[in-house]
Amino acid sequence: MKLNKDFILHVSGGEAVLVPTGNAKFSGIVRGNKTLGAVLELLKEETTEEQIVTAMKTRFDAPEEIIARDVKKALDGLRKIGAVDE
Amino acid sequence: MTNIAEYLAEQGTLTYSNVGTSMLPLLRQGRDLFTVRAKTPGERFEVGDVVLYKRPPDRYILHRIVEVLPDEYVLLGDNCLGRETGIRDEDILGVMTGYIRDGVEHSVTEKAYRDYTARILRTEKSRIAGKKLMRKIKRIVKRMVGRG
Repeated sequence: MKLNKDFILHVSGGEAVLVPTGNAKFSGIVRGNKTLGAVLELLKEETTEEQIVTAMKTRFDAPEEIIARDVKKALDGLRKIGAVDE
Repeated sequence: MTNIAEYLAEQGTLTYSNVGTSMLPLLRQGRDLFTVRAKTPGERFEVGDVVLYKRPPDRYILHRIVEVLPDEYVLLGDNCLGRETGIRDEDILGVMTGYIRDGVEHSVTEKAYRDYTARILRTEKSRIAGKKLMRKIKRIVKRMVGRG
């Protein structure tokens, strides 16, 4: 999976902002914390949910099941707005 | 769902993408982002400022002020041919404070941007005349090609 090309990611001051371009069906704005920012950064390249969880484990000091749950939640939200190409 | 005006009022700033070509070469659709700060009460803007305003019923336009009149502003997109008149203070939601190009944040206070703005304002007439001429030439060429 990968971040859809019709979305632009910008990270500023620890906050991730995901903005749709004019070609995206979604017309809102997604703001997130470091966790979402890290997930989005990883989605810039082709990856899998498992690879994201593994990468997140090295960055965040939290139990794997919590990380896996947060990653799933983030991906579900991104899928809903069409921001992820499977 | 929160619209752009509500979001800007709540958050104070908005980073978003543009649609269309009206602010080329500054903002490229699908590639660049811009940041707008919400207007403060009673704030007035100057020639050269890029402002976000709402055009009824629900279009949001980000264009540059080219003339300030007592009760309104005259706007023009950097890549546009026609001036927009009758834009009142109450129509304006905020002013652009920066833009993000290729992932790099730029402020409107940077010298390069200020030079760009000065050039855009200074060359308005010649730019528009040049674009109109190009349009005319394209139309003539198209007609000639059409005749085969």
